[in-house]
Amino acid sequence: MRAPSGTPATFILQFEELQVADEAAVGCGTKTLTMTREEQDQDRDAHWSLVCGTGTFTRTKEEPDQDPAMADYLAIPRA
Amino acid sequence: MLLVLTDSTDETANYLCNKLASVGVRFVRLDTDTCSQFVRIEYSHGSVVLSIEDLALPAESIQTVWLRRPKPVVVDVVGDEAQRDHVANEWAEALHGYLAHIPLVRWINYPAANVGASHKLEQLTRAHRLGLVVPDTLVTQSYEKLEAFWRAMDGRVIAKPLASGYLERPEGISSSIYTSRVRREHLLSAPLDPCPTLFQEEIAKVFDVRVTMIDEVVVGVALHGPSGGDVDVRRDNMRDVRYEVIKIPDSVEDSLRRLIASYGLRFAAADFGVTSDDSWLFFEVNPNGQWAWLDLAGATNLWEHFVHAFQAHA
Repeated sequence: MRAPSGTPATFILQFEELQVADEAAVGCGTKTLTMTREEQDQDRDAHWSLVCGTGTFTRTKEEPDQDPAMADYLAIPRA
Repeated sequence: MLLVLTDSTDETANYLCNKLASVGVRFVRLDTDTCSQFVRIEYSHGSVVLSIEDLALPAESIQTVWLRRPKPVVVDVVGDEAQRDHVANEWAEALHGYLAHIPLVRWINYPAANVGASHKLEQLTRAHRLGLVVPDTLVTQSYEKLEAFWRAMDGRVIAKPLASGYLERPEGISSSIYTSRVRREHLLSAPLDPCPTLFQEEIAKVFDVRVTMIDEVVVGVALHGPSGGDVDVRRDNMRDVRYEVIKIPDSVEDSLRRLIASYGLRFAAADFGVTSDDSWLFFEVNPNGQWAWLDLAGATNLWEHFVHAFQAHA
């Protein structure tokens, strides 16, 4: 099922498809176990800090003594 | 003690924790999205201790950390957004400080190792260098280069996301971008210039293989799609996919082991396509990829290998 949009903003977005809920999988409580779509294999928080939000890490002005990159050394990955 | 570092909604963590309990493996599950409600962290005289109610866990007591997609710390305090962010970040840093006392070898996987292994393009470069066969690949914003690549591949080209193929919207409508065949009509139907896009030769594969590695254990499972050689076998929630544990060619396994070791990973899930002449082409590696669905499908008992890995340093 194609996504409801006009001209895609980028090349890859022309392949965007609406996600169809899998009632059976959801119903038995194993949704994330049975779905192996890209987004499920990819750890989408990968490049954020392990357990932190990201706001302050991108604003070095307020924390001049802190190296924001260091805060990400325990970051978990996308994939 | 085994520390399971995860999120309260992670189904894979639920699955494995239930298995651990069933075989009597002691563990503590720390859901980072809820932990601020019941965890205490104290540092004194060079020793850091995480406490959950009456259970005190000095960092040196943690024999293994299983990192399973923890989420940002959520705090429930009064104050404006900036103040709540500040508190959440203070909480997170305290957790970081605790976790940083645990030696790298005790992690499955160490987060920084996951980060280093998470870039598709670099994966392809490294995999090729270590002897794996990879598809011809082009990342470009140039229509001319795409067209030349498309012609060189006789029109057998796929496009796939570089990062994530999942689009999540606040209103709950989500969508996916699967690996998709690029037909002639696609070439000019959307702009290429605004964003680098990944193209690869379309492999004439007869089936996909998911290889799961846990320390020394390597398990290959063939994924036979309903129509055979599907461009992306994950469509339709993998409905009608048939699973089969298969032997991995020695040369592929050797290269894959070296690839995973080069990233410092103890766990990884790698994807291959296998052609009719038994050529194995490497697609990507997911250092925090899914695996439990293979157990639930009856193809594997990967959880047992996790148990062994958890006990390796106990």
